[in-house]
Amino acid sequence: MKKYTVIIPTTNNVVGINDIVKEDPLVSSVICENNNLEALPISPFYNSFVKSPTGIIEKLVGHPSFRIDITKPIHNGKSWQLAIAIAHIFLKNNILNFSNENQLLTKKTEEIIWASGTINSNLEIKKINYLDQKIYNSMNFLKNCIKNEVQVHIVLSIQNKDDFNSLLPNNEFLKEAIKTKLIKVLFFNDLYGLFDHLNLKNILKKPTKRPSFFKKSKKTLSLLSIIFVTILFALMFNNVWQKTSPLLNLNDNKNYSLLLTTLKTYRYGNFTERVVAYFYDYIQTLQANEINKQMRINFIPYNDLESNKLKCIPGSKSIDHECNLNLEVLNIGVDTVFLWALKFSNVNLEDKGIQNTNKKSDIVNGMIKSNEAFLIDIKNSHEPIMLLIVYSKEFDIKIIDWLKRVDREKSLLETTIKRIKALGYGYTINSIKNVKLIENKI
Amino acid sequence: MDNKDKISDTFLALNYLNLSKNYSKSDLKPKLNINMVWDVYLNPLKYQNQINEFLKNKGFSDAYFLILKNEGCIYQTKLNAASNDRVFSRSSNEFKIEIVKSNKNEDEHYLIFKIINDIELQLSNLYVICDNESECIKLPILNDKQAQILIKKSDNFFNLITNPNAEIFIR
Repeated sequence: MKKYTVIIPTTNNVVGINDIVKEDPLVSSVICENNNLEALPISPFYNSFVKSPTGIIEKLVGHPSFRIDITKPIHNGKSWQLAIAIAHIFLKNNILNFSNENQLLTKKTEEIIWASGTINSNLEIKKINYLDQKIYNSMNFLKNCIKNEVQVHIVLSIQNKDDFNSLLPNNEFLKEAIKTKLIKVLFFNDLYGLFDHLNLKNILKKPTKRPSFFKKSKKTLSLLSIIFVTILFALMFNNVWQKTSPLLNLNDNKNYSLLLTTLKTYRYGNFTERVVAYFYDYIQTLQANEINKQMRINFIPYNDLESNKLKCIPGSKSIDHECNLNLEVLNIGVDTVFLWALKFSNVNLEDKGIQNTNKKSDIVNGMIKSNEAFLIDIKNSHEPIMLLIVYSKEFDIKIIDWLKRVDREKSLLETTIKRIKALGYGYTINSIKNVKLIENKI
Repeated sequence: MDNKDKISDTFLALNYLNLSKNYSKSDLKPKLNINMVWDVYLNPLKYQNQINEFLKNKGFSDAYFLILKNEGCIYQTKLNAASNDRVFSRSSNEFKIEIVKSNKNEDEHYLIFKIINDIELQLSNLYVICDNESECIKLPILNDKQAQILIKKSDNFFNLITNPNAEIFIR
């Protein structure tokens, strides 16, 4: 690998680097002139520039204490920072060529880095003053480099670009040397730019922004939360399914009594059971509502006698007691619906002294296809009657038994309705009262 | 310096002349000038380049260190060392001294001087006295209560300061 000689221009001299030695970490870093014992006045600033946390050299090369010897003294200023930082990095990678006390260019010199600038902790190169003086003082040195065919890189902050360009019109040598590329003038925002330009990216590479630990943790936490919530939902779903599947099996097998008993247990059970019961009821209610929506009921009064026909006009809420009554049940939906209709009296049979066993239930059942109607003749009666009509998309033979029981025992009506609702069947209840209407004519 | 201070300094000098009665007449150097001792004490920077020459005079150094001890300085006594080996680290309640070898040159060492507590005295010189020898070195400006000086192993100063029998004065 090619070796570089680093030069520090000052307002008085062109300064070379004699030596850089790692010292004991107890020692504060020092800059001396040509191996003299006396530390130069900039030594405390150099120490701050080296030692972390304020300094950058320790961070760049991993050692906190150095002694540097330079060929000429530097008394003040901070523009040496750029050249010294480059020299430290080059030394660590064994591509630094030291100057001699009286000879900045040695036989080993291949390329020169002439650098002036200050550096902050982000390795950004900042503007320096007195650039014109530094260039002027370096002219003989630069001419000597060209004479010896040594490539020179002038390294400056991009903030000094205008300053440097303003010097060119008055400096024919520099203009010509730049034109012939014997001197390359390089302006950078930061130190990474220089190493990139010199194809030494592997030595000093700009760190890529990695997500902070917190952000990393946040991502991990989010992932863990998603996994946790997924597992929680899976467990909940499993629990719900464990409770729901028996209900569905009982429903499929038409084991209604056990289904209703299980549902009742669930309604007073633990949280999962209550949730299952709630959802089961909700779905069955939706199903029942759907069937109810597709059924239309019309009461049609009629009388065969010509004299009474006018009294039996359809569409009125009150019907003359002379009229007979037909119930028209219309299926306006797409699916076929089965229907069971029970006509019963509100009064218990026992109350009227009639034996249950002798009475035949007034139950009608049938099937109504899509857009068809079913007509039930409700014979005239002087007693108030109730009409319970149950609808289902499937034929269920047990419904007749339930209606018969209601017919025999009116108190079973409420339980039967619950049962019908629980199984997702639709139903309607209509009451036909027999009343005497007194109209006030005057 | 006004006349009042001069009179005061003269009385102090006379006081130290009285102290010199503790020495036998034959011990005193014939040309000891106590006014000069006092002036060196008051103006150490003025005599920076000559102080080591003056300290070669035993009478001068005795009087000078006596004044230093009495008038204010920070001081380390001889060490109770178990052997006569060289000492590269010594500390007291007031300051600490470390001597670290340089990696650049075996003959060079760093003398690192650290003050432990804040001190009102202006510290400009470090004096080391061992047996009948004494040396002085100028202290650089303290940075964060610390100063560092490069010393040569071959110098007498190194021999004295690493000697456990040496006393150290800083003023």
